This record gives sequence, C-alpha cells and structure tokens, in this order.
Amino acid sequence: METPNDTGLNEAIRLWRAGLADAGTMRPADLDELEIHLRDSIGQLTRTGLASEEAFLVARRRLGTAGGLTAEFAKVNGHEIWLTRVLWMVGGVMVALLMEKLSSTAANLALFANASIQLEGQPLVWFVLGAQWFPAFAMAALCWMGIRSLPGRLLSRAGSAPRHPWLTTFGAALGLFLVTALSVGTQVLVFRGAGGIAELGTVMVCRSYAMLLAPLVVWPALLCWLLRRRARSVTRSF
Amino acid sequence: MLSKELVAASTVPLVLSVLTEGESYGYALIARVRELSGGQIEWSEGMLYPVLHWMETERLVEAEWRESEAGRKRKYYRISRTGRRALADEKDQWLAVHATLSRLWKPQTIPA
Repeated sequence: METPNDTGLNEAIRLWRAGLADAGTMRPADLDELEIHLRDSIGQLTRTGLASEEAFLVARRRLGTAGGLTAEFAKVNGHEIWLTRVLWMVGGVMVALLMEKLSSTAANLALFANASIQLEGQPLVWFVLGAQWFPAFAMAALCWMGIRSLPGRLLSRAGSAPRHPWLTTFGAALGLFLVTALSVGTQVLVFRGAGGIAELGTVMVCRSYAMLLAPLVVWPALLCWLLRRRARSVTRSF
Repeated sequence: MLSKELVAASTVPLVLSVLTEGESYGYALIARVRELSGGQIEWSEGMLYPVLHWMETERLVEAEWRESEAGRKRKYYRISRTGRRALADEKDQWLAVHATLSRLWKPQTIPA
C-alpha cells in the first residue's frame, strides 16, 4: 500500500479521478470502486519493485482508457443520468418561474398603484414588459457567471450531475421566459383593448390565478416524483 | 487470446462461479480469474465494474461496502439466490455447447 504521505501519487490519482468524473457518466460509488482498484493495483506493482510513479502509469493503463470506461458506465448508468438531467431542468424551470412570478407581482402592484393613469401611457406599458424581461436577463447573467467561474472540479464533484448543468438549466429557463414574455405581451395588449384593469372580467382574473397556481402545484409534484424515482434507482445498490 | 465475444459471454458465469467460492471484491475477482485461466483470460480491468453494476441491478449479486485495514472502503460482492439460479442455467447452456463441440472434435485415430 502506498504511504499516506505520498502526496504526488495522491495528487495524480485525484486528477485521474476528476478526469473520469468530468464525463458525468459515473456515480461517486463507481469512482470510489475504480479508485480503490487502482490503489490495490499500484500496491501490487510497487511490491514487485516498481517506483510509485511507474506503478501508477501501469495500473492506470491496465484499468483502461477514460473514454472506454466512461462509455461503458454510460450504458449501465444511462437511466440515472437521464433522471439527473431532467431534475436539473425542472430545478431551473422552477427557479425561473419563481423569479418571473415575483417580478410579475411587482409589476402588477405598480399598475394598481397607478390605476388612475391610463394604460395608453407608454412608459407604464414598457415598465410592465421590462419587469417581465428582467428575470430572463438576470438568469442569463447568473448562468454566464456560473459557467465562467466554477472550476470543472466543483462541477464534477456534484457526482453524477451532467457535464454542463448550468447550460441545461439556462436553456430550460430561457425557453420558459420566451414563452411567458409572449403571453404577457399579448396580455398587455388585452389590457389596452379593455381600457384598464377595472374592465377585466372574472374570466381573466381566474385565468391569471390558474396560471400562477398551476406551476406552484405541478412543478413541485413533478420534482418530488423525479427525486423519488432517482432515489429508488440509486439505492438499489447500497 | 480469447475473442471479444467469448470474453463478454463468459464474464457473468465466471464472476458468479468465483463468487460461489466466497464473497470477493473487484480486484480479487480479476486476479482469481487470471490465476485460474493460467493467464488466458485477461479482463480489461475497469470493464468489469460496469458488469458488476449491471449484475447488482439484476439482483444476481449483493454488494456491501466494507472498510479495509488502511481505512479505505471496498465494495464486497456475494452471490444471491437469483444469482445461483442464473448460474445453474448458464452452466447448463455452456455444458450443452461443450458436449456438442467435444463430440465433433473427438480426437481422430490416425489411419495406419
């Protein structure tokens, strides 16, 4: 067995492990198993007289290429990878929805506060539209900062998380915002046509509440279901 | 060297058979098979683990993490009841193939 003080070796193993984890097809348990195998192999080789660096190179070679290993694990872990990716997407959409609803509430409050002003007034319409777009840009900025600043190691330490979780989340969030902006844009036109908030019928009000409540109910339910499915598929192996 | 197909087909029965000798972990399994085959069966080491993972999801084996002397955690595998049944089935299949081929390949007496 290599001595715990062999920092060079431990560093090399850590880099090797990070390289494998980067592909996102192996669970932490799989990586642990491969690592202990590598260490056993190195121990065996150093006992036959090899220096620890040579032993590492030979043992790593014997274990197999990173490409081959990650591909094989992708075949057996495919189900879990898919679930994790969907979880990230749902998480991203939920955050996007939350921010959108918050800004929408702020915008509507501003409208109520200025109910006396006719909606023909351009600045207020632009404010409403802008308040809806703000979360989209904020999310985009956050994700861009996330992609740039987080080191690969931190991402891969997220276990079986996909290679670029921020991209997945950002894509889902942006898609949702584009659709919401379209819907809100048309809603503003309805406002203008109706001549003001007081003219809104109960149908419109109910529709607004339904739009608000549905995501608050549907998304958490979906998230819980996906988390349970993932927990079941992960805990199948202790 | 054995063909890729033969190695792939024989991996599961080999692992199950070695596990009937007692529980083991990945590295020891590979070493045992290499030893038993006189070096003819050399598994590309890392590739065994996806197979073990698959066998675990199929409940052919059961696994347990245990701490070794050096304080590192190692995953030990043991054969399950389902695994024993699957092994018996594999054994029948392999022996059937072996018996047929043996009959075809029985040594020919050299004509005088």
